[in-house]
Amino acid sequence: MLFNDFRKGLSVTFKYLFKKPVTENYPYEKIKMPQRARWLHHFNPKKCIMCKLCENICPPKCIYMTVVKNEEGKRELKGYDIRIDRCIFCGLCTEVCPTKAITMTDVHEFADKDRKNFHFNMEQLSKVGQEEEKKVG
Amino acid sequence: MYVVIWGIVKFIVLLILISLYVLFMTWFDRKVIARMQNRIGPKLIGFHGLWQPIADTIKSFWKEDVIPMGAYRVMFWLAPVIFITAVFATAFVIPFAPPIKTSHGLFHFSVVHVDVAVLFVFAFLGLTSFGVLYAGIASGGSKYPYIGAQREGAQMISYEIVLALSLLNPILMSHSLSFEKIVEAQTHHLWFVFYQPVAFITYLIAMFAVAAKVPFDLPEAESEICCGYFVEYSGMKMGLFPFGQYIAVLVLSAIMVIMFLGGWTGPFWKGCFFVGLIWYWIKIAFFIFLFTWAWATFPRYRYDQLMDISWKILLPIAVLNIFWTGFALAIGLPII
Amino acid sequence: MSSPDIRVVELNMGPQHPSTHGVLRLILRINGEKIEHISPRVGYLHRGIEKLAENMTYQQFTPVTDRLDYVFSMNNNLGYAMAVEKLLGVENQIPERAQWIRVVVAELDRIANHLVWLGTHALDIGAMTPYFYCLREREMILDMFEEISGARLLYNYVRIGGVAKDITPRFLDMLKEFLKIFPERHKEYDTLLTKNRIWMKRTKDVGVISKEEAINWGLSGPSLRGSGWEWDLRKKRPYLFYSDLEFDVPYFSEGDVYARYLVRMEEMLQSHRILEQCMKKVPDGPHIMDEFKKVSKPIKPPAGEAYGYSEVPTGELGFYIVSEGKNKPYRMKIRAPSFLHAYALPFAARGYLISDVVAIIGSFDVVFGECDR
Repeated sequence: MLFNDFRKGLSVTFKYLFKKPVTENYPYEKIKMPQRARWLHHFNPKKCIMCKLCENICPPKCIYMTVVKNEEGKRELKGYDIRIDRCIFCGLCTEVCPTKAITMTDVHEFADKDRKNFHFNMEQLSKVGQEEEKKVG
Repeated sequence: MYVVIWGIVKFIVLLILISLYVLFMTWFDRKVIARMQNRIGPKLIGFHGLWQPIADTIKSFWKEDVIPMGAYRVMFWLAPVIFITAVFATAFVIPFAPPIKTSHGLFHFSVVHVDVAVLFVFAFLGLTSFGVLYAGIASGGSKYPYIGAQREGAQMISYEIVLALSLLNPILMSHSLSFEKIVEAQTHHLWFVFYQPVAFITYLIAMFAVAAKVPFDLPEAESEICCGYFVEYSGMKMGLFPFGQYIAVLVLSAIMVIMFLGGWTGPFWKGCFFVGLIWYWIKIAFFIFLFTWAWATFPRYRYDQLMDISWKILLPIAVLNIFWTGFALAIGLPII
Repeated sequence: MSSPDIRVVELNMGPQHPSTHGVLRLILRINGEKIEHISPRVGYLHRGIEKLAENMTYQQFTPVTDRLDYVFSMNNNLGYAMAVEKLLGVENQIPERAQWIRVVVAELDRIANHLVWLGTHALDIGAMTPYFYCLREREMILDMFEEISGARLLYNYVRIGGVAKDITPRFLDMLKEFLKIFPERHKEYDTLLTKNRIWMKRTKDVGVISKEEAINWGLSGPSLRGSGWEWDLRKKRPYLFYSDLEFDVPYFSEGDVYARYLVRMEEMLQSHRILEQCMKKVPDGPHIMDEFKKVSKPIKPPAGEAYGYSEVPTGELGFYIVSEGKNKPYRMKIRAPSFLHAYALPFAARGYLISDVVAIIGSFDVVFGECDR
C-alpha cells in the first residue's frame, strides 16, 4: 500500500539522470578494434603460393582464383577475386593460408550503393587498409 | 468589445505558445528518457538537439499521406481534427498565470474565463475520445486500430468518472467551480492536499489514465498492437495525436496544481504576480516531469486489470471520500 | 450450416510485428480481447541448414552452426563440436585448457543471451528502461568475445577438438572487471522489475503450463524448469567439467511466465558463480588437440551415428549426425528447442488476452534462427 516497489524503481531511474552516458561518439571518434578483428580482407599476391586451400575451405564459396601457366611453364596467379557480398567473415581462409597471404584487417566502413562494387579483385584487395577513411559521417 | 479583442489576441498568442510548448516537450521527453537510460538523446541538430523538434515537424509535413483503401475518407480526415480541437478547447480555460487587477476588473490569463471551468474541461476531455474512436473505426477493416479504439473508449469512460469524483472534493470545500476562486480559497487555509490526501492519490492515478500514459497507455500500446489507433495514419495527421496528448498532460497537471496544491500560492507569495507565476510553473513542471519519469520506469497494465483498478478500487474509494467530505462539512469540522 | 460468429475477429500478428521476436506469424481468433484459437506459422527464416551440411566438410560447417541461434552462437558451436568428437571417439582427449575456455565462453554466452531476453521481454510488456541497461552489460561481454575471436555476434570460435585461438591476458582482465560489476547491475534489473506490482500482475498466472504438459510437449531448459522439473543437462548428463563445479539449478513449480522469468534471472547469478570458480585456476596447456589444429586437414570419422547435446540458454540443443566414413556427413539432424516451444505456444496461450500472448512469447524465448533452421 505504501507503493514501496514503485518508489524503489523510480529511484533507480532517477539516479541515472546524474550518471555519465555510455554512448560512444562514433563516427567522430573511431572505434578501436582488437588485433584479431575479422573484417575486410587484405591480400598480398607476392606471398601467395596458389595452393587453393582458401578457395576449398570457404563455406559460401566466395573466393575465385585463376591460376594459369605462363610461358616458362610456371604457375602464375592471374586473378584473385573475393565476392564480399557473399562472404560470411568467418575467417577460415586466413586460418588455412600457410603463408599468411590473406589476412583480415579492421576496415569496416565499406558500405556501398551498388552490388557490383562488392566484387573485389586482386588489386583492390592488396590496397585495403592503406587508404584513409573516405567515408565519414 | 474590449473583451472580444483581448480574447482574439489571447487566442492567437496562446495557440502559438502551446504549440511551442509541445515542440519543446518532445525534445525534453526524449532527452530525459535518454538520460535515464544512460544514453544521450538527440544531439546533433542544434545545440544539444534543440532544433530536433523543428526537424521532426518539417519531416512530418513532407511525408506522403497514405490513406488505406477501405478507409472512410471523411471520418479518417475528421478524426484528428476533432481530437485536436477538443484538446485545445480544454487548454483555453486553464489560467496560465495569476490574474491581475486592472482598472477594468480582473484580467485573466486564459483565453476565455468561465465560472464553471471545471465542468467545461470535463466536457471537452470526453470529446477527445470521440476523435480516437473515429480514428479507430475509420481506418478501414484494419483490426489493430479497431482494438486500440475499443480500449481507448472503455478506458476514458472509466477513468473520467474517477477524475471527476476526486475533483468534487476541493469543489465542495471551496464552494465554487472557477479556478481562480479555488486558489483563493486555499489562501485562507492550507493547501487542499493536506485535507484530501485520498483524493489527491486517486486523481494522480486517474491522471495517468486519462492522458493515456504509462502505466495506462493501452490504446497506444506500441509493442502489442503496433501503435493502436493511429497505425494507419502517416505524416502530420499522425503527428496531431501525440501533439494532443502532450497538451492533455499540461492541462491535467495544471488542474492538479490548482485544485490540490494551491496554484500560484506558496512561501513568499504576498499577492505579487511574478512570484506566483514562478511557483505555479515550478509545480506544473514537476508533474510533467513525473509523467516522463513514470514512462521510463513502469511496465503497462493489461486491459482487464486496468478496468479492475478503476471500477473495483478507485471508484468506491472516491465515492466514500465524497461521503466523508460531505459529512465533515455538514457537521462543521473546524478547518485549520 | 450455421452462420459465422460475427463477434470473432481474425487478427494476424504477422511476420513483422514489434514483439514476435523474429519472424513468427500467429493467426489469432479473438472475441473482444479474449483469444479463442491460435495457429502459429513458422518457416519464414528457413535456410536449408540441414541440407547444407551434407555438402560441406565437418570443419567447413562450423561457421554455419553459428547462425542457428544467433544470440548465443558459442553454445551452438559447442554442441556441434561435441557431436563430431563423439563420432570420432575423442571426447575424453580434449586438453584441459580447451575445456576451461569452452566452459567460460559458454557461461558468458548464457549471461549474454539472458540479458537480451530480459531486455526484449520487458520492452514487450511496456518497461522501456531495462532494455538499455541490459544491452550495456552485453556490450562488455561482446567486447570480450571480440578480443578472443574477432567477431561480435557470430564467433566461429569453438572448434572440433578445442577452440580456435588461445585467450589473451587482456581477456582475463576484462573478465575480472565484468565479474566485479555484474551483481550490482543484476540487482538493478531486479529492483526495477521483480517486485513491481504491475510486473507481477502481468506475469503471474499467465501462460500456465502444468508439469505433465511440459514433459509431454518436449520443453527443455528454463521453460521446463519453470514448471517444476529440476532437469538441467549440466547436472544430469554432465559434459566438459561441469561435474566438478558447484552451482544450483533454479526451478519453480508454478509454471507461469513469472516462474520462467525468475528461473532465468537466477540462472544469470548461477553462471556468475560458475565463472568466479573458474577464475580461481586457469589451467595451462594447448588450446586444441594437435590433429585438429589445421582446419584444412580432412576429418573422416568412422561410419556410425552420434548425438551431441548441450544445455543452451533456451533448452537442449542436439546435433544428431550420421556418417558414412566420408569427409562430409550423410545426414545431420538438429534438435532445436525453439521449434518445440513455438508449438507449445498455442496451448499455453489459449483463453488469455492479447496482451498475454505477447508476454508468453517472450517468456519462451523463441529465436527463429533455431526454430526454422
